[in-house]
Amino acid sequence: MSALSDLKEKITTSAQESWNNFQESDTYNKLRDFYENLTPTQQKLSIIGSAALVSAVILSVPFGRLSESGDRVVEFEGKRMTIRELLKVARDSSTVPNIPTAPSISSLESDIRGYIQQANLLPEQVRAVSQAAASSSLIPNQLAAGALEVQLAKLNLNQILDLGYKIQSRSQSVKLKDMVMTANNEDARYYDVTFKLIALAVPEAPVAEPEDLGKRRGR
Amino acid sequence: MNSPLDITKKISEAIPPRNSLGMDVTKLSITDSKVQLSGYVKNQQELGLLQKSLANIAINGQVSLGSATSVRALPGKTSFVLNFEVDRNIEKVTK
Repeated sequence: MSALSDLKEKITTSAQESWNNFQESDTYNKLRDFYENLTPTQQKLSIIGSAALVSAVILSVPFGRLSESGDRVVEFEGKRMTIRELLKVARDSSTVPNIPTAPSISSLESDIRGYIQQANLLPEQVRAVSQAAASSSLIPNQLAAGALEVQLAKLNLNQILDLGYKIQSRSQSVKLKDMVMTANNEDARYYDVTFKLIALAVPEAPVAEPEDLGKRRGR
Repeated sequence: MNSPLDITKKISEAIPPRNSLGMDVTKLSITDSKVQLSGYVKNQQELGLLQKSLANIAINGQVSLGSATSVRALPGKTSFVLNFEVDRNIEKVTK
């Protein structure tokens, strides 16, 4: 406590000395003369003006801090919103199934021919496996990489189901879009079937360059 | 996206069993969301029952009766062509 009192006393003495020195200076005396030569109204106005100036100087510090803190709060809110949006995008992105790129139409055609061969169909039961227009009201043109039409004849229901399920299970990016079953003209117990498949144009995910990865780790 | 085989299964489940509805299918066409089913039933009553059953899986419950001229008339049987639309459950997936 005594150290604090000493410090207080030192400060008071120092301030008193400074004030005495200032009172002895030319500037103070000039200002005093100038003040005393003013009319009483002017003296009042000068006191009010000086008081206002001193108040403005003193208040400018907390107001400046307040304004700065407001700007920082706005910046913080902006950054918080950006981080929340990024987290949401990351969460949404992780819930989307990873769809593989569709096989090429020629590869798909070859696979379908393989399935047909495995099903032991007679040559006259296979009418055509050919590329077709990928037009559809369900899948926009820009999302279709191509289409394949498989025309088969005189199949029983089990054969239709077996082949149909094999075809539709080929890839997640290949969709069995249409199917037309028509009773065979010679034997109505059998059906002529046309399957139409569409390969989706799945864009490939961008692969991160090793350099990018290195930079990220560096950060 | 529902495949035509899924739609065929739905149709099969929606229609009454064979003992209450004897139906011969001559054509089943599933193109995009449009379905056309052609064939024969015993009489108009069965046709009404079939139409009502398919309304359960059709979009807006609408099953329209098409012109049966493409189906050859058979004695003692009622030919039909039914048109309706189904939901193919298209999901937009983005990454």
